[in-house]
Amino acid sequence: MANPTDRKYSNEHEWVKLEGDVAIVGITDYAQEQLTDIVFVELPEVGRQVKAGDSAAVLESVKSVADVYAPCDGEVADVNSSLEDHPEKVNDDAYGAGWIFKLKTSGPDLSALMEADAYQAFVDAEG
Amino acid sequence: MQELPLQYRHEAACAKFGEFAGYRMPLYYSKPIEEHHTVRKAVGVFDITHMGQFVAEGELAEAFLQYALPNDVTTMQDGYALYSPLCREDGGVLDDLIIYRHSPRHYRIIVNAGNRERDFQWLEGLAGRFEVGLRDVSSGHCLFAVQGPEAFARLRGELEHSPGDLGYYRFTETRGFGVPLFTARTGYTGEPGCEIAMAREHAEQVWDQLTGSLGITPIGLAARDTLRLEACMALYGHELREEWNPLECGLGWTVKLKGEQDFLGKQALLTVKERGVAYKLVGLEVTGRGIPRGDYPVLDESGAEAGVVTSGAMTPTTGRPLAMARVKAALAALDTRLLVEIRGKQLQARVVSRPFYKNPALRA
Repeated sequence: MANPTDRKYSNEHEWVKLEGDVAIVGITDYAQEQLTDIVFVELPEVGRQVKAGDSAAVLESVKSVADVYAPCDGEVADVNSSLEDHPEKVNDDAYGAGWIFKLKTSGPDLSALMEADAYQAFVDAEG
Repeated sequence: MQELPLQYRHEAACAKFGEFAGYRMPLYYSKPIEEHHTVRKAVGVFDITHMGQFVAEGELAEAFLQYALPNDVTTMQDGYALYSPLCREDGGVLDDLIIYRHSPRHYRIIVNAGNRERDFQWLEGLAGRFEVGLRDVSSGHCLFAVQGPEAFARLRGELEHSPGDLGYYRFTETRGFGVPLFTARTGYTGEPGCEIAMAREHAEQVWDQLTGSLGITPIGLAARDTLRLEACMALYGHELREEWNPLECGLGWTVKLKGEQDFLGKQALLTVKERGVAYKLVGLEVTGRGIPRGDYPVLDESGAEAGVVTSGAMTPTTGRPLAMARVKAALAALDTRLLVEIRGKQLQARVVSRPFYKNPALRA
């Protein structure tokens, strides 16, 4: 699946999409495919302050446990609570219905993140 | 890292690979949960060639194994298979294995890949005293497991001696797919099925017919793990460890005191039996929101240390977060309330009966 160009990507395989002062965060299609069947999602508490690089959510697949890191500083404004009953949405639609949390930010520093094509090259290199 | 002889077949089937016990193993071909359900509802085939295979031959082969293993080898007849731990003098579990009796002078032994070299050295050290020759024949053979409720029906007519006619934990040497086969009614999924060994040069032919004309789906290690967990079968390094004795990690049923006969670890295991076991293996269901995983701490209701999760998962057949755990014997009764610590949070759990999944046809 092509990575949408309306967002940026971290080398931990999160995507972040800015809508005004809200950053929507999820994991990439590559990441969900590597994790395989996601069976459990632990979401952050709304109102929690996070710094870029903090573990903000946890995804568990059949075999493994993976952190989802905040790609920028902010306050958790919303979480995708539908994932608690339907964690498989992350597999089915990583870039849409499988979003994980939203951060309220002001002028976030996304300079360390990659554009879609650079991320694809990063994934290809990771093999 | 070693590759399976049929690596190229798994690659062609688009397997995702991961390291296990020094081997590059197929983890899954499609999706782990889908593969799990395929084995529960129909049939699947696993390439488990990574496992070690030994042959023990000698006039005193039976006496050698009777001394080397806590289980009672003398209950076997030709064509019987027997599961046993392999214990040190102090009772610590070195491995779990299955022995197959061709005759009282000739046994096949199948061991875990990760312990193969250590087991061989250990057993070879003992075999000498009995003038038994031990050979590691792993590299000459391949091993496939055909598992699932449709396994016997799918294989019917393909083998001269149908595995469906074998009793549980029985084996036979037969022919099928044009080649000689060793077929045992054993497995690691809780489903009826068999494990089939053959000379390496015949493996491709057998695999291709199983997955081709018989249409049996290849299944990876990820589903193998959730299947064996639901069936509450032990995995070395998880339920079984060198520092634990078999009586305190769920294998009490495999330890036979064998009257006057001595066996390695007997004194230590007798002592444990006399003083009573300090730990037991239990089933645990996490009732809070979370998935128990291996090595997560188990606490009693007051928050005091109670034991450890040995394996756990969101189990696909039940849809529940279930685990096996080794806990203090006083906390092992059914329905005991316990806590599992998951990423710093203490989640409610309770002791539930094992196994989590049972197919009555397994032993039928």
